[in-house]
Amino acid sequence: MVGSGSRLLIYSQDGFGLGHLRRNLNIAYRVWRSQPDVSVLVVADSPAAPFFALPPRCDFVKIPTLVKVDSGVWCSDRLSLDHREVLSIRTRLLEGLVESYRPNLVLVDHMPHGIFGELTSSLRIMRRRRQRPRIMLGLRDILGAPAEICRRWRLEGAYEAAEQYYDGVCVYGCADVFDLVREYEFPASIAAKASYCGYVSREQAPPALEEADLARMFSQRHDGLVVVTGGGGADASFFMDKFIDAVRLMFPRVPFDAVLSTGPFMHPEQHMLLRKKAKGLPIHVTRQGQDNIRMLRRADLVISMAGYNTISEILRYRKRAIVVPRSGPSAEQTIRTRIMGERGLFTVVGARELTTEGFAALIRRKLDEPEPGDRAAIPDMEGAANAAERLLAAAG
Amino acid sequence: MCCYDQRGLGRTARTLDIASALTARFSDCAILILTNLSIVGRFRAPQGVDVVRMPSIGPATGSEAGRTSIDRERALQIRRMLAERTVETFKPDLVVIDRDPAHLPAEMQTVLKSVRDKLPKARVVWALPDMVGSPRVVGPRWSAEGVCQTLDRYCDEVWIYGVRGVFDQAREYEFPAGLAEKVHYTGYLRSPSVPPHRVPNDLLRAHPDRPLVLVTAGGGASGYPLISNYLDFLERVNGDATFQSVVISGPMMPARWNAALAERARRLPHVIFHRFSKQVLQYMRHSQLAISRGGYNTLCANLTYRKPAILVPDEEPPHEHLVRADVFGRLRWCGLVRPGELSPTSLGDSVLSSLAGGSDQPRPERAERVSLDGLDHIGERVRKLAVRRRPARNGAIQNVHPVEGGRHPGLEV
Repeated sequence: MVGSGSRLLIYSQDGFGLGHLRRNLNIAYRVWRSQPDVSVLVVADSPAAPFFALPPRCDFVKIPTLVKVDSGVWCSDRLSLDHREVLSIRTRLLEGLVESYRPNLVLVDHMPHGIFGELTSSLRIMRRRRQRPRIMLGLRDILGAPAEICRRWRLEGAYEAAEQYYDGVCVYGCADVFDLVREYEFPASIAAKASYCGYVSREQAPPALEEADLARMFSQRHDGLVVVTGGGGADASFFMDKFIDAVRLMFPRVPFDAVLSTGPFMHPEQHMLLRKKAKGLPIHVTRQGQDNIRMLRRADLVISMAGYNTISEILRYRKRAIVVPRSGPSAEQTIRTRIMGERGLFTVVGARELTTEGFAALIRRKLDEPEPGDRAAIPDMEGAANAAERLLAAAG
Repeated sequence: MCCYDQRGLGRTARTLDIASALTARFSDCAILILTNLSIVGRFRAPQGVDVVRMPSIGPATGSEAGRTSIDRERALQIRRMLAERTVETFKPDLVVIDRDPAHLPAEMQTVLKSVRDKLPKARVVWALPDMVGSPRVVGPRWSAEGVCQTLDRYCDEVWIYGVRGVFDQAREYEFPAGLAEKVHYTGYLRSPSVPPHRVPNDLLRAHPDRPLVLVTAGGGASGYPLISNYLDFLERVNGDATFQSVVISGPMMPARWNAALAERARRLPHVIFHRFSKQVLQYMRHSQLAISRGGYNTLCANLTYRKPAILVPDEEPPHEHLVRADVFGRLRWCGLVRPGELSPTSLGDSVLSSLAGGSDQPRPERAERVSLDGLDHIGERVRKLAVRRRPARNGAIQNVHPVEGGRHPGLEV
């Protein structure tokens, strides 16, 4: 049994973004709920880390950031150093963390041996140890297009790493939505240790915004509330711009107020432009990503991109939603929305297909739809609890 | 650059500012900042700068005590490891350390020793704010911990981000001759210029005709008395105040206290309350009076924008805020409410008389001749110490510059 003094190390590689970190913190929170004695150290590389409030008994180390430019192509975020130099710093720090923190449980998120195999030496160090820690791999419901993921995993040796070093694989999704094990052609050795945990969403989420909060944002309140969010926001300005056009078209007969949360990674210029463009309309433009969930819980309609956490929250809180998936560089969002859209969990539109008139009409139509109730189509949302249980059981 | 904040965020904030000035001046330099600040992610590192964050020790910053995740010994071990390995792999030409030299001297000594062992050519600088505390406290504490010997032994230079004429640290803290020779007074650090048209949105929506009082508590860990007394004063004037206020409590104020203050502020007219604002300099720029606890960075902003200020220092040893407030008060640059005298009435009286603006009021203009050119001097020292020594590497760095425009490659959610 994991007892007091147990240590969990989580490797959360985000580069530019916060999605993996958000999910890992959700799991860390759940671990604390089941085992308040376990201490958790998160190794993150997002420049905004930790961004979210850390769960109790959880601290973090930030290592130099590498960002993904394209599939398999990485560069340093801000340092004028070659990515190899940054990589060697990261590798040494990761080895050191394994040696000095001495975890007895390790959760590696989505990259079995890290960027360019930066985790390999650390994984070896742990395997050689007499009291070998349990090492678990956590995989998001959908990593990307099967052909692309299989190619990369083969090329980079990720299959071997998953086979050699890991005691178990937690898939944060459901086989009947996306059968990751089959789609990514896991050999029997990995398939045997993989289990589907369901979707991870935020535990102990703060309450929905109150009327008083909204009164501060809007001089005059309308009935409906539309919340527009694009995760970190790095590439969200396109559909947000179109949303403002659509509201402008409805003006002055706009039956709702809208909160547009641009996110911490939207370029400041773009944020300013959206803010300017929304002047005179019942749209409140904010950067406060931390509060997104409070807004979402209050929303009558969510318009968002299709990142893992946003989708999980839309499903968990049974929200009407219009989802605009990111088309690339990875196919993750298009695959996720195609499957879930077909199940009728939300409406999917392509960013390029959106006309102002069409968008306005769609928003009106969605607001008139009945609220999604307890539908059988909604997948298992207990991912955080299941993953925490699985982790703690592995540490045995 | 290594910065270790104990209860606040000042060291990391100014280190980021300095790093930003250095990368602007030396376009191909790479700076890695090693910090323990838990909210460092809220600050955007400038181009050319990245951050390594170490775990907290003792009560985790920004959270209630007893919430630390890792036991103290292990946390110290991890921090030492991170510092040593960062130095070893990043191979800096120059190491600048901004921390209280009497805080965990053993930790720092190991790191300094390993810098010297592994990078014999690297230059090492210890950085100190204009004043560290009362000579009565600092002197004995430093000699007990052997601080001067450590600094002298491992550091090539000591930078003091202040002015000798305002506070002569080498004399006040009795630096031995060898160490005193290594001291460079850089001048105060000018705050970045804020264009006057950059008015924070909530201020625009408020009351442009009312004078603005800005109340800040730095990191906020011990800012409760200041803000509580200020709100008390406003509650007493009961809406009759002719000015408006922006109150920023600080991200390290414990959540419960912060919530209580925020609720009180919400009930008051003409008060904008934030826990953290990236626009604090903009607010300062538009204020008529700035009330603070006398932290170094806030003082620099007061001097830069020539804002009348009231300093409300606390009594925490080694009395850094108190000494600074005393010195600045004596020079008649700032008003002062001493720790024992802090009450809604005393604070309110100071506010009202400062806003009334009699000729006897302390004025920051009196500090006109005090150097605010710290960033330039630091740049100059860096050029002398480091840049000319490694032409080969600088060239190499330029050749392998990462993909242009690769900074927004799309978010991996």
